[in-house]
Amino acid sequence: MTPEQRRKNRNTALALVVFVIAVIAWSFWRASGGVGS
Amino acid sequence: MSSVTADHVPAIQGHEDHHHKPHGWRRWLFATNHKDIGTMYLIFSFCMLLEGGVLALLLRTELFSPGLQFFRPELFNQFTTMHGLIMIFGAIMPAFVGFANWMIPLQIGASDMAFARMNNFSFWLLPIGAILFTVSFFMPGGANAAGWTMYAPLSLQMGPGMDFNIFAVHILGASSIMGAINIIVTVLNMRAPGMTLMKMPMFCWTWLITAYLLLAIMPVLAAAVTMLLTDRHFGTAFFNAAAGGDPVLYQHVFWFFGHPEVYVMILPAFGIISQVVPAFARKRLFGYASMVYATAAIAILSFLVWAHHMFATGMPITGQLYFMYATMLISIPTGVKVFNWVATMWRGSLTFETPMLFAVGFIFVFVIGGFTGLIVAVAPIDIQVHDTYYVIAHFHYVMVAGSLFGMYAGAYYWLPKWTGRMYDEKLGKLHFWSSMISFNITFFPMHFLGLAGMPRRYADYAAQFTDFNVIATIGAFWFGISQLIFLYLAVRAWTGHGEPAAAKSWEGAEGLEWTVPSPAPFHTFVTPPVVK
Amino acid sequence: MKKLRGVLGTGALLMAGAAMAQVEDMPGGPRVNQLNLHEGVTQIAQDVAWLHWMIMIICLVIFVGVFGVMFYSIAMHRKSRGAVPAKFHEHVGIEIAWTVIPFIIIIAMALPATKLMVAMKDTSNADLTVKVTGYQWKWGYEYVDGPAQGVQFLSNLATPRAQIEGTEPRSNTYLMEVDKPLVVPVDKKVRIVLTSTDVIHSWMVPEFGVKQDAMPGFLRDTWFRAEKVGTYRGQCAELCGKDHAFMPIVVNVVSQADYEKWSAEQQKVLASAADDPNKKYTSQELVTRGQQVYTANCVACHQANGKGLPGTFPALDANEKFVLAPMKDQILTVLNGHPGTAMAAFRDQLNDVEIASVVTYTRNAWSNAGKGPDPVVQPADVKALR
Repeated sequence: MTPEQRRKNRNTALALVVFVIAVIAWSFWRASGGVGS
Repeated sequence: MSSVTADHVPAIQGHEDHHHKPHGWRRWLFATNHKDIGTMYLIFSFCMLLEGGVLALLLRTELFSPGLQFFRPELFNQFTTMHGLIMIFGAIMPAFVGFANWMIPLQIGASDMAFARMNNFSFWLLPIGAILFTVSFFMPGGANAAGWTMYAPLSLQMGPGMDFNIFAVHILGASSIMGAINIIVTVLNMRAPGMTLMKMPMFCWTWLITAYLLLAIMPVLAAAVTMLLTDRHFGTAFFNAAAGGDPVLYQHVFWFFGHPEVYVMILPAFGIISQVVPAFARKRLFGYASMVYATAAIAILSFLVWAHHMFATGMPITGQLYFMYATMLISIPTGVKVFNWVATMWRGSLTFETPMLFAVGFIFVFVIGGFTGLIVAVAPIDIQVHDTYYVIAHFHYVMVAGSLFGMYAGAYYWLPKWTGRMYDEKLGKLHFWSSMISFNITFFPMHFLGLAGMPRRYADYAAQFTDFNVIATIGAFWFGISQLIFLYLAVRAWTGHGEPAAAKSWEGAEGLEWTVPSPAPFHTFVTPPVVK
Repeated sequence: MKKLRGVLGTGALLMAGAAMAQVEDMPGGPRVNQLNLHEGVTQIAQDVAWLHWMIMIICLVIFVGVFGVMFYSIAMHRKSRGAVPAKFHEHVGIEIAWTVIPFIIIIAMALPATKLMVAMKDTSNADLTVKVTGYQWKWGYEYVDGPAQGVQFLSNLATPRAQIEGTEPRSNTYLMEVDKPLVVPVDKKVRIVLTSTDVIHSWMVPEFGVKQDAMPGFLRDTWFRAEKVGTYRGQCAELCGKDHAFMPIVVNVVSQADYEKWSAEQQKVLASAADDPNKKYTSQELVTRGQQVYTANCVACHQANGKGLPGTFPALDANEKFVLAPMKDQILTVLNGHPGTAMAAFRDQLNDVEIASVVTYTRNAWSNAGKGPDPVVQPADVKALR
């Protein structure tokens, strides 16, 4: 893999990881009375 | 599937191999090769299929006649619970990741997955999770006996086996998330030049969409089981009504994960079928673009229907109606896919080797499961059949006849590419017919049991339900034994028995994977092919 | 191992055979080898059965259509018949048609389904309201209004253990019979208000077309109007622990006249059997009563011999920590349970006399007799600790 390819891959992955963390945080927020059931 | 021709196929990197390719146990423990990792995923998941299958046979043994003959109900509930968890998280999901690992780089002309080392870690987390699941049986109080759905407050009453379960789910979830990231980045960034998204094989499309689903839902499951953990041990009251919490909240969070999860388990199978049917019809997939849009529509809709698992919880009428309508809608894109497969077969030139038998069998039996799904989507009917054997029949039709048969179609289709041998076709056909017949014997009677009112997760039942339970148990044993046929012939092929396979092992097969030799060499597409 | 499996299998088969030979349709419950939904004794249940037939027939028509085409193709478009593959791979018109037509069919199904769902959810203007409470592992009924107002009782599985273990032949109402059924008048709208004291249970009676989860800490409701006198049976429909399969529901639908007669009797029984928490009972009275309470409430986990299940349910026989110890801790445990375990709080299920009796019983039963302090516990002792 070229360094260019590695860089592109890393950036895509980072974006996805941020999404994952956001989903976990959102789940806890919704569950603890942000809006409730 | 769009027809893809490779302009330039790189020569086999034969003699370079023994400089780079590790040997012995190091090859497997430190594997970074997508083919090796794919193989490990597949072997692991088949072992889990057997473990989950044994649990099913244990519970079907108890259910052979009314009364409690062999197991206390607490233990019986552990069997039903762990059967579900092991099949879902140990067998089906990892098996599809195994297929993804093997086939996605080959199909898009990439040399490997985007993150080869993370790929290794993703795999080796799985045996740890599996050990936690298995060992939980030996904790005081036994394994989780609250159902694979782990509803609170019942799950809050369980012993330490439940905590082992929660940790296993965390670990397996982390593995899935990493695998999904790997797949998305690989598919988006590493396709060979000329392979646009709309030229990509359907298997890659369905996995791309599945990977997005996984990223959105596994963190939610992690949150849900973490909340169970803190309610159990750290004084929180998410689900404990006496302290201001709400047990129904758990169900909402769980099923927000749970419903898209079942699409995670079927979309890759759809992708496999979309490759196998055109190959054995010798005809292009009908409506490639609609297939892509239908898959995306199913994925998006799957987030909007979760409370159809909760029709009996006491939702206000607007909720019941909305979720009923949204759920019924999903049958439309699903129907479109079925019609497209049939249209692919129509006026093709069909042969029925084992992959095609499983593909056609899949379509037949999955559609039955789809119809019962439509029936339970209708909320008034669901009130009668919710939590009965009707639901068990429905999801085994789509999950076993769906996901598992889809996987067998893919396994037989790609086995020549993986092993370099043509498996024994007569045994393959025997495996198919034996599985198909015994599957229906096992699960069709369960529709009747459910309609008549036999509840699920019951260790004992009213005597009027006996005959259908006897039939289901006999079918279950037959079905379980049939899977050993597959084990036998897969091992035979893997150990070098049978006709050597050509690079293009099937007359009608299309795609980049068929341009490399069989078995696929350790390194493929070191230089990407140019695709027209 | 294989031989053992064979023996067990044959044995089970013989027992199943014996059972099959005797079993008849369950009155008010499942018929032998029933294939379809119950027709039901309420308008709702009948409407659900009709809706189910309608949707099944539509699905059957589509099934025949799709698989007719597919099996035709399998037969006629084989390579072995010389079929040459066509070149087409899309057709906008057909694709639109087979998206729009199913959409219309779905809407056609959704219309009657909507009407029925709205009717099922409408619990207003009830003639009678009954509060149903789910427990691990039985149901409790309390009449909120009408002639039986204030009457409350627990409803336990009545099938003898011997039938479950297979040492006695099974009756036609095996697993779906109780000691005290719910009694309601025919042709009256009965509103069922549900809750639970521990985990989620679900109250299901297929002949009524009723299923509603019972949630701890919340009230849910549903309703039915039974149009035929008779006895109807259901079961718990949400996994609730080890005896999930052993807490059935039986409803006696009687004429209005019989209902009023029954209500009057129940009110009389309620008045006379009122346990007096201030009375001092003899040891013998307490132990006798205590054994009844123990059998109905404690045997499932602690076992009839008091040995429990090591590792899961503690033994009460020779129990140094609570039973052969000063009475306070044992009374508190029975009153308040052990949160985080299956030991429920019995403070709302058993009155002071019942708790005093069962605690006294355990202190005098098995090997405990003559050992430990406080062998007799009076209701006043329990009342003081509430």
